[in-house]
Amino acid sequence: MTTRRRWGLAAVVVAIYAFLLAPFVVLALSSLSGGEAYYISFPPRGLSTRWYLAIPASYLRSFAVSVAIGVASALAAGLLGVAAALGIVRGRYRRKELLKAFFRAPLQIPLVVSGVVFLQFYYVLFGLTGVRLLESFTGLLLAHVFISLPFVVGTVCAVLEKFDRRLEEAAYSLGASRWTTFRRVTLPVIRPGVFAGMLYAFIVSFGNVPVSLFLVGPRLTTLPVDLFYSMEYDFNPSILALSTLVVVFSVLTILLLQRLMGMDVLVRAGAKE
Amino acid sequence: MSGVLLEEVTKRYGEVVGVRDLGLEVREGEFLTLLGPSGCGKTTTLRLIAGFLHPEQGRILVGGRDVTALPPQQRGIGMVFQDYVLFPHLTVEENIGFGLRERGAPRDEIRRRVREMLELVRLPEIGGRLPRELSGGQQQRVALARAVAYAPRLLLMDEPLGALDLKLREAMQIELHRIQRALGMTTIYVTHDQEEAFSLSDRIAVLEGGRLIQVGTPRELYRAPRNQFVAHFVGKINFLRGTVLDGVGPVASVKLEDGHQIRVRAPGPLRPGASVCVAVRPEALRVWAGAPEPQPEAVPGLNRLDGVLERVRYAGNFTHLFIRITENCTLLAEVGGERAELHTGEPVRAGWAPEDTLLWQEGDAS
Amino acid sequence: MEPGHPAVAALPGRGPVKAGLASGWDSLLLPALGASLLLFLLPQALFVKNSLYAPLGFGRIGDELTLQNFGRVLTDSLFLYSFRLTAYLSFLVAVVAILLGFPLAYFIARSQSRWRSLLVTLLVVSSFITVVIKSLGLIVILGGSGPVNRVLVGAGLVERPLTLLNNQFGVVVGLLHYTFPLMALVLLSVVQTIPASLEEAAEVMGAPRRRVFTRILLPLCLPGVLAGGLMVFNMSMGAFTSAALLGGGRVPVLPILIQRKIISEVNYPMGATMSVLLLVAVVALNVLAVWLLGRFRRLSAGMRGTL
Ligand SMILES: Nc1ncnc2c1ncn2[C@@H]1O[C@H](COP(=O)(O)OP(=O)(O)O)[C@@H](O)[C@H]1O
Ligand SMILES: [Mg+2]
Repeated sequence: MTTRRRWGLAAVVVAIYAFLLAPFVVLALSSLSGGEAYYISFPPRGLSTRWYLAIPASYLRSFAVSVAIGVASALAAGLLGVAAALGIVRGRYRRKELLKAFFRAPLQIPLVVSGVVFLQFYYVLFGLTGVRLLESFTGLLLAHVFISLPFVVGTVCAVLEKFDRRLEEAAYSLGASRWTTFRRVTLPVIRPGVFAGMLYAFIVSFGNVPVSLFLVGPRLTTLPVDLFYSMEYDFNPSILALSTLVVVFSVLTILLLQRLMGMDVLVRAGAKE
Repeated sequence: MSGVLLEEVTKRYGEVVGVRDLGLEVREGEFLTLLGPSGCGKTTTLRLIAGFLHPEQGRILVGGRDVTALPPQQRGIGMVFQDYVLFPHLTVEENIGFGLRERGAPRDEIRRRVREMLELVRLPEIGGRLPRELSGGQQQRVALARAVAYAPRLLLMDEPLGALDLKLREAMQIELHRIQRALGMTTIYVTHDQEEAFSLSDRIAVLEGGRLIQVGTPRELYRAPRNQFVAHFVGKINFLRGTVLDGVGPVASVKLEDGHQIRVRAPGPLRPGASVCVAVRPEALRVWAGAPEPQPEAVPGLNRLDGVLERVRYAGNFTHLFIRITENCTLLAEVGGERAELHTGEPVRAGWAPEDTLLWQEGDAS
Repeated sequence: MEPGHPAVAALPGRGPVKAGLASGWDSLLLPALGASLLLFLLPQALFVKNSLYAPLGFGRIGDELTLQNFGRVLTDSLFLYSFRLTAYLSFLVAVVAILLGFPLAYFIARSQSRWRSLLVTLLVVSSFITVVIKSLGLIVILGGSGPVNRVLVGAGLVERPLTLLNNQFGVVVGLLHYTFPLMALVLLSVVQTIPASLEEAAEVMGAPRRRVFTRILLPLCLPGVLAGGLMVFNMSMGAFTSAALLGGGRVPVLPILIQRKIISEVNYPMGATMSVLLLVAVVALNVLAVWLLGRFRRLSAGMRGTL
């Protein structure tokens, strides 16, 4: 009886994973189609890598932009977020829940709204100071840091709250300075939380459309926005090839991170609270 | 009608053996303890009986009924877990009434019974509290009350006192004993603590490496341990190695590795030249100062070993003496009270009676 | 918060040394606080203000504060329809995500470590990949000549290919694909906090699986499950990409309306007005949900002791 239920559950799980993974499998297969046609052919007709060779260079450029912004916002959100979490958890300010709610707030703002907000902000800023943030790397980065900061603050706060401060006291008692203690004791213990937060910061930034959409232009654009416009207005099978490459890139990144940081981080990454 | 019978039960976790060919009978109303070091299969045995695990081989009978294939719900068992596992979102009353409610008992009945249980574990005032508002000892009692509230025919307890500090543990042992006697239900108890097992149990089953080594009353285990493992695990003991010189008759003579000759009560005829392990309990040793003075001869027939008193550990009602016999042989003796005439660093003589000696042939597993 | 504040110095149990250490931590808060104020409060204020000017067309705006935008939006039937539609679809997606995500999270949480790590990795991979690519894959799958329709027609279950794209169904599937991996990870972290031994304790006391679920699992997981559902709802309310690509412009959810107002019509004030209303609605719903959850908890606490 128990086993029958177990198998029933397993069947549901398999179905869910099929749903989650099918799009990537299908993409990869149709990207290999040898047909001439400028539409999607699935199952693929013949096998060829012609669409891979036909990926326009502009896509590769926006791919580079996306990776750069993703990494930069993960780093910036990481630095700011760890400092903020330390301040919240360790500081003297007693209404910690309020602070946490403040830093969590961007999660509740619909992404489209954030996009519009930044668009107008940069527009006004340009009018007032002449500083042009629209269609600039800095402008995109600021917006992406804004939407990814909550993830780092959340995960790092969570590990810091569980952190046993006696570890630090032990280090002090052994004669370590505050900085040494932080670097050699505190940081290694909270590192999984930091990595998890930064991983999500990267994910949120790297895949974003609704915020970037308002801030990019012909001179600077991100891969997701590029792909989005291409799908909306001028479909070209080489985006299937490009998408497949991005999927492969993502899988390799995850595997690499998992190697470097361990499974634990990925599980914890899900637990934002 | 509510005894338990395990018939050659085997359970593996992949490659790892949980328990192997375990045959065990627990009599109705009996308090039986599974005793053994960590990893020997105690929890596995309990979980097999509870129905959380299913054996690859063998049968499990509870009250004469084969329950091997039954899910836990249908086995009518009460269980106390090591870390209590009280439902954190339910009050003490709701926790205790849980099993009754699942059995469809009427509300009044549940309320009355919960009250009774709270009295039984001497916590009549805390029914409305949540588990997190209780101390460890209180949680423990609630866990017990919860497990017995629906009068299961069999009670299982997995190291229920493991998380408590020493004083509380001793107090709870007395409580547990009282409650089990009051309810009279068959109880299988798991612990790795020999003293706890001795103070609670009618009988004890010693496990090692997934196998049952010996079952018996505490007295039987202590006096006649089947092998060195049991002897070592149940109480303190001194082991000595040697070879049989003369193995005919009720008393054998054995030559120890260091050349001393001793006399031993033999379990049966022994082949001369066979290597054996002999053992003597610390409290069977008598100790005299100033060996080789002739006092021990006053008690004829005693085995004697001479050595140097290395350390004295005073424990109030008794004293432990560590006597160095040779380079790699130190005897532990337990003597009553204080022995002011004994001084560390001075020669002493230890003696014991042949009938206080245990003997096993080497390479003899059972 | 300034160092040496008398109220802080007078806190019980804090010696001067500790206070000195703590003030060091305090200052760490400043960069992020500053950045958030700069990137959060200031732009939000500007943006709300923008919704209070009348649009003059061609991207120009009036210079008098007015509430007329709000009046116009709130009487616009397309906006009202769109609002209801967005909320309805987001709610639907949240419910489906909970119904599918909970069994999945439960299965993973209770499975052996070898399977576990593979399943979790796949969830992370799926959440890693941008919605645009997911939507592209779903378009291939759900298209008129895609595998789903081929199978359905081939098996004789339907006569003509079903329309699975450019309608609400497509959008729901897309939103689900977008939010589900994160939801599953959140639920996993919830179920993981519930030891399996709690279930065993209930089982051995005679509770059948269904009762173990309703009396133990559900009450213990409920706050986490609702928080996860709220997260999915929030994400869906603001989701633009999957709605645009899988709805094909025929499912006018609010994010799409807002994007059109701003990018196609260059009507910043109206776009801002709609955004403000969307924001207010989402925040209000969140506050309401948190309040209801709190009440629910207090209610169940109040029922204690009555058995
Ligand atoms: N779920 C499990 N998976 C794999 N091995 C297990 C599992 N549970 C127990 N074991 C192994 O089975 C043996 C017996 O374990 P257990 O019954 O828990 O011992 P005890 O309770 O006596 O400490 C041990 O070697 C243990 O490592
Ligand atoms: Mg155990």
